[in-house]
Amino acid sequence: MRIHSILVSLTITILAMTPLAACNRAAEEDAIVYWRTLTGRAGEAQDELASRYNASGPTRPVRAQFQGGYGDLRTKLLTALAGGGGPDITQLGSFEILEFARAGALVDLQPFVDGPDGIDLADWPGTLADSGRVEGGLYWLPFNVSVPILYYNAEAFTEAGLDGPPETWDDFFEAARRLTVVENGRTMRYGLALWDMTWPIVSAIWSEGGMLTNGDYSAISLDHPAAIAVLTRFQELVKEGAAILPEQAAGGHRAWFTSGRAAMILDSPAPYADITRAARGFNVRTAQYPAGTAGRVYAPGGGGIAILASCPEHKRADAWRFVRYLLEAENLAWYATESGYAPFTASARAIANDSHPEMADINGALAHIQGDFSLNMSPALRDAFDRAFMRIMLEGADVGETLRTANAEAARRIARDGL
Amino acid sequence: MRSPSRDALVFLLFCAPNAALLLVFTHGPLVYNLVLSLTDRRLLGADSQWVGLSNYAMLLQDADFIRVVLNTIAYACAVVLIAQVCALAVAMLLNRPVWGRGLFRTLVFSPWVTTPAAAAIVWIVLLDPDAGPLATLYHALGVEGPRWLSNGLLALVALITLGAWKETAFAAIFYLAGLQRVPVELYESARLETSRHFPVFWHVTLPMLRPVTFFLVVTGLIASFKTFEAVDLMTKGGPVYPDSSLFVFHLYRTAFENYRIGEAAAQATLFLVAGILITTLQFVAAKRWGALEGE
Repeated sequence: MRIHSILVSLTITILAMTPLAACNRAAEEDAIVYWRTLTGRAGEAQDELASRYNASGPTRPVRAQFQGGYGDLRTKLLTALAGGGGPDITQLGSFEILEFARAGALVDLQPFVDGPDGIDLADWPGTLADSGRVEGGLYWLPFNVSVPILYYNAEAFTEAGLDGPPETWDDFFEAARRLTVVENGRTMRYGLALWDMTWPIVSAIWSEGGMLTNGDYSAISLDHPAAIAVLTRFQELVKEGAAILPEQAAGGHRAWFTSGRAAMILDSPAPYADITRAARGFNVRTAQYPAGTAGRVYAPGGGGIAILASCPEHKRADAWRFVRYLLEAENLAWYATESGYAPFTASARAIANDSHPEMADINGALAHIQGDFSLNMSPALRDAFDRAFMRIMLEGADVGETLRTANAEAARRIARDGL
Repeated sequence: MRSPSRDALVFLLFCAPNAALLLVFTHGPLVYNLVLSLTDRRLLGADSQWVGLSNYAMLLQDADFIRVVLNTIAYACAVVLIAQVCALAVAMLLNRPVWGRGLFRTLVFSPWVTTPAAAAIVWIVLLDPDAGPLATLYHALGVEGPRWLSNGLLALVALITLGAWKETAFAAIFYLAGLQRVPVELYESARLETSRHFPVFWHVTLPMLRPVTFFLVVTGLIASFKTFEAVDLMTKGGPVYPDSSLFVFHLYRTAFENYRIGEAAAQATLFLVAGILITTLQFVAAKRWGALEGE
């Protein structure tokens, strides 16, 4: 009898909960799902933007869901899309744009940009607005944009008799040598700690008039004379013991800088808060990149936003409203202040809180952005260039020969795979 | 008396759930993987062409793939060999009636229960050439320590060290159990012949441990071939890819970073074939040398 009563109660409870579960599922299906990356403030600020958007009473609320780093996000997206699922909107690194767009996994944003709820791209610097353009469609819009900047140890500069940050690459290489301290045959401080990512180096090559590829990969030139010249100069620093390329697994260039073992690094402004917090025994200063013979030219980094083809047709207009919300001047400006990324549109820059010291450097750099992610978008090109860079810096390989081999390998793979 | 057909029906009914699960989650994907390996399928997009065996042909000419296969063979052999030797030595020490034996056994086994990610981070810190404990030792000695993860060969050695450290813990427990099953009478008889330790070890202990050794070599090789986390966290296959890359990491890169799912499927098929071949060879060798339990 008692068992019978329990079974009846259980059945009634389950039956009573079924409509609730159904309602909950309906509410979830009604929402716009946004997959994001980035940790710390850069991630939390996105959640906060989603909350603010939801508080403004949209037709469909947005559910921001953290999916790990860029690599984790990519893997999860690939798995979800291959299985016929996926979110409605996603943050997406520049590496994935071409593959995802060509595979039909992204929605063309051009009709939304041009539509009644569109945005004015004339406000955007350089060719940044076109950086997500693939074969006539616009599949990605930059959101968390960064430009490489120079971080330096203010006390080390004073100690080395350097008045301020280097203005040209000649000054930069000279400063790295003067900042290096060797005692009893042991290097106590390197002038420069290099990142194992080639992104900061690309800006240096561009500023010397170099070009590594064109947009459709019909003219690849990893062995461009400017690339050879720039990498040779960095390699000379490593060979002389004035620069080091530390192991990334143990904290990499940032750990060497914050512990005072390296006086300069080339990095994104995004980790500015973390770097200043971790720095021990010195003041962190930032500066714009040095200028080359072609002036200052910046390769943008960071990520952007895309609407996925997995977003049902009837939800796309609402998905676009959230994308537009993220890109509104006041939201971009607020996000930049919170995260360290760039308030990259002119109107966002005008209202951005530039109380952070690095903001002035970012703002100054924005005018020189060349919105071209071609190198990032091709796995073949990126892989070949990264390997060449590591071989040159770690193994002291011949720069010209290594870049020529890398160029041939990239061309072979692009001919085979298309990207 | 029950009819044979009724018995067969009951047998099938009991087998059906497991058979269905195996079919859907193991054999089905294996066949699908084989089909994928014969196409130029990319991870995204439905369009793909039938390319026959060209993915396999391409892999056999791919310098990266060949390097990764050689790395994996070197890694697996080194890890298993080092782990067997160290584990047997540790097990023999722990088999003696020493004070605190239980605590030592727990300590020895702890690397095995440490998650691969945590173990990798511990070794990254240990090997840090400028701020780790080894670096402190080098500095005290006034020498520059090696930069383990900045050199292709040393990076592979670091991975082998981590793998052997974990595998030793696992193998030591099995060897310890194996040692405790060796009949004392055998040792007593052997001691009548000689008082030296090595002949007793060589002619009594080792032969009696053959089944355990066989089991550990098979499982150790399979586990080593499947290593992924350590590569991902410690070296990413570098410093210059694929200096220290192993098979599964390379497969992951091919599929999820280069999007070539057809080629990745061909790699997975070759991996499966190699696994079957190696295990079969091991069983043949074990049968010949009487290392299988009960022989």
